[in-house]
Amino acid sequence: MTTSEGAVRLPAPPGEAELWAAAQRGDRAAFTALYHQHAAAVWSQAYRLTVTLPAAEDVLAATFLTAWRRRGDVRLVDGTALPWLLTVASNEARTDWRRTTRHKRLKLRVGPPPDVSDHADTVVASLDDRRRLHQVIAAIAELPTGQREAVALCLVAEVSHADAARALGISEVTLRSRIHRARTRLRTLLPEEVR
Amino acid sequence: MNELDLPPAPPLPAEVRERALQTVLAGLDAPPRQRRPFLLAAAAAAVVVTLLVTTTFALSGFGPGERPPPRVASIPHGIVGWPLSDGSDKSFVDRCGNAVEHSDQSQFYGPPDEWKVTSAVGTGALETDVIIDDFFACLLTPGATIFSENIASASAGTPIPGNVSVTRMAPGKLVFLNPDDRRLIVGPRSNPDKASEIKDANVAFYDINDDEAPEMIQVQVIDRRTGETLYDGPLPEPEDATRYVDRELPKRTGSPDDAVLDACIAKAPTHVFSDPGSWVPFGRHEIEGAPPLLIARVGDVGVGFCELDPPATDLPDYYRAFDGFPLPPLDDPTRAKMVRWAHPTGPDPFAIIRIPPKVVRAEMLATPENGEPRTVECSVLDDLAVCSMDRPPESDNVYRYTYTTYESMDPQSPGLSVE
Repeated sequence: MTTSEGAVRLPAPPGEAELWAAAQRGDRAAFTALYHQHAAAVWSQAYRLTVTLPAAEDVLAATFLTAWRRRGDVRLVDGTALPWLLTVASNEARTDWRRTTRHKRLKLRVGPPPDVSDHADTVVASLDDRRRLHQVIAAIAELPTGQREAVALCLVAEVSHADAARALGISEVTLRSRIHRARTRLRTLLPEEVR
Repeated sequence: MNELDLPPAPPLPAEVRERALQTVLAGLDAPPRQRRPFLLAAAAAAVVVTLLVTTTFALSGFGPGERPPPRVASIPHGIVGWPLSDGSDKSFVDRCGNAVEHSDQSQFYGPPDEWKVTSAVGTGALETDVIIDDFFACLLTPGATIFSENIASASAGTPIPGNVSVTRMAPGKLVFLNPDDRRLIVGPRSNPDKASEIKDANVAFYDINDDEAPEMIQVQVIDRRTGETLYDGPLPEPEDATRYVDRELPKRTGSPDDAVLDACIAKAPTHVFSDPGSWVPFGRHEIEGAPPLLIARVGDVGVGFCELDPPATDLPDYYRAFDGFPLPPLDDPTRAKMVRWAHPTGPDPFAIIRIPPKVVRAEMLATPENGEPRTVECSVLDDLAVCSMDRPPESDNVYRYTYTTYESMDPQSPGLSVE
């Protein structure tokens, strides 16, 4: 479903609230059901913010592990926790990104990186594209937390402003303000990428 | 494709879905990952430029000499509210939030408890320019809170081509809203060298200098990416911002000094006093040998003065303009407190002191390092004392000043030290 603004209005799967309630009581079967319900969407977000299949897989698992530990804090928007999960995934992706970046810097000190291709090469066709994507993700990763979460939900996952605001527990006006400031910042860093 | 042109994700492979699930299930009983605690580094940088005038207060019991009769003013000035703000971000947000919530536009600003102050700059005597979340502007004056529309508002201010708009916060103070981060250059048309670019802000105050009539201001809006000039022309007539009167201040009573005070305030740059009418003539300080002063008040929160016949000096014109400043409360209700030592190195130094309610007389003793001490009588204007030197200080001498207050006109009554 798409709103007039082009943002995805998240459906409200029946019974999700009950599944979270059961998970909060320790029901692993309920949590597994929730995993299957949201794994594809979380994967998509994880991939967009890491651009490699192995990293996206790590982020997918880390997101649901964090969700299990914080299942008492889950925030449902229109009956679904997906915006909240996407926020968790975005934060996990940033952690993964920064860890990988540190690792890459270390490798550069000891010698050129090995020329190893992975599945991402089939998606990211050229080195320029890869460099561009990395610049975008690096710029997002450096945004202040509030702006980064707003960008991850609204500009990357294309969650509607209303749902994103509720998932983040802020007003829609505040959300729009954060997105505006993030756009301004990203436009400075990536003048060719941000419209 | 999303706004950032990040690539679409490939479908989640079934084997990845299953492998990740097993990782999750295997980790459900594991303790949480150890995270390094955040090290919060709070850096507070405060640049304080202070003109220090060292004045010594000491106990003194000298009796009065020949002196003119003191004047007592009785203009009502009691209002609540010192301090207007404690200078904290929270106090600014509280006051702006109160104003916005009393308007019919509060739904467009979000809840104030989510606001953060982007910048707060004290200007003039008792005013603060506040920008909230780089989203809208708030001007705090002693009696009113004036707020602009915000950058998400479709009808914000007077539009300028390039999606910029301008709002008048006060006669000498504008706010530009620039949501698209255009290059925005503003300045006097007659002197392009004085034009300046408003940078790194979507919301910015602009003070109109005294040599800049609003109709003489030139505005340039340039697209940063293409370099295209979107507007280069005069400042359009700005719409007035929303004004919320959040406290009643004493009003002028039609005194002949009103016009004198207005003329004096008009000598100050336009943006310094956003609400000149809030200043009320309070009394005159007139002693032989020193320029007469007109003292004005903003209720209980501000005091200022105007020299009515200033000595000829080579000091700039604003030396003759009205000067106002906050009026602090007494720390001890029985002891006087220095408010302002004015023109300490000029030809006509004087002090304004806040005095306890029962004080009817005050004196200032100036003791030079080399020479004889001199005593001057102070004017008592209700809860203020104004003490002028009756001759300019010698530039090569060092002075020690002592203030003494009395609760009786009896020349034999003991004085009370001021420390």
